[in-house]
Amino acid sequence: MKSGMKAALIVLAAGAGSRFGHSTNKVWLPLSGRRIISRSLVNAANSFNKARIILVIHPDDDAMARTTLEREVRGIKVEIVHGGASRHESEYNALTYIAPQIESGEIEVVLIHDGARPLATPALFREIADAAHRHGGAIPTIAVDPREMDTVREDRVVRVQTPQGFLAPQLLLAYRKAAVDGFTGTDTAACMEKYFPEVKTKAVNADVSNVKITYPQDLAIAEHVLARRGYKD
Amino acid sequence: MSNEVLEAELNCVHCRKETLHQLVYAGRLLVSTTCGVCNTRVEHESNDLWDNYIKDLPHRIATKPFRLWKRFWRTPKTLLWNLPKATFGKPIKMLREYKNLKKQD
Repeated sequence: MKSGMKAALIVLAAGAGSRFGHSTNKVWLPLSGRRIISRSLVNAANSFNKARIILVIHPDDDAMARTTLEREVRGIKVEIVHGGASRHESEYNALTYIAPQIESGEIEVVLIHDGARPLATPALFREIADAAHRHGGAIPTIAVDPREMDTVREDRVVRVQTPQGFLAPQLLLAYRKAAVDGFTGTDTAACMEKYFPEVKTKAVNADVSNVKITYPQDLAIAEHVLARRGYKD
Repeated sequence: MSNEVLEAELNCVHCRKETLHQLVYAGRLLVSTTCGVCNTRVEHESNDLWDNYIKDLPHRIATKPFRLWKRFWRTPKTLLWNLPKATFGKPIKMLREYKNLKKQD
């Protein structure tokens, strides 16, 4: 069932990569017949009845993005925003783009998702949005087995995935403050933690199959997961 | 997505950094990736690949009419212009896919 929450989904795909007139950014690679970014966008859009979907791309990938949306993401309104030099800057550009709707209360929750994670399910998007609405922030996590680490740590260590969700007004304010201070966070949660440490970010149990395409073997894993799911999601 | 060889920036386990990789596809499935710097090649197990290819084929065939219909609505003139060539070219494309898979054996 789709969520009726007033949400905006920002999908990041602004990584550089263009050579001889064609993009080499991995998000444009095919994965079982559809581009990685198309799968990320469709899964994000399928989570909500009415949500703003913002795709953040590198300016060089503009033509590629429009062709892909036209061919593979039909029926879903996707707005394109150009990214910056870093992930943080790209997030800021997207937040600035939707700032008027956040300030007017039309957008309550913002979810930021890495375009290179094509297997995040609509259920995960909804769970993150609901938890962010209730607690102020939510991130998908997977507990790391202490035996996997080189150092002994008292506290619990988790691997963090995306989508990461936060209440929209606070998130916008955090990024505006970061722009003034010149702070660059490694991810969305890092920026929120710096400027709104009082916000309790809820750790939502994530799925190991929500892989980020980073290494060549991740593509093979993703293909297997999709085949197991019957090419749905 | 008719290209069978694509290039993309991926992390190489040996170079320990993001490098340009060459990716070879058979149909919709990835056959191999090769790092452009150190030539490290990552391949699918050939049995898995054949198995997945055979499993994927009915899905491709079943969804083809729907995909053609979508393309027809989007760009009817282009589709009608390209359809005869694409239809006659299909056996050659399938043969190329078969050869790419066979190379892995």
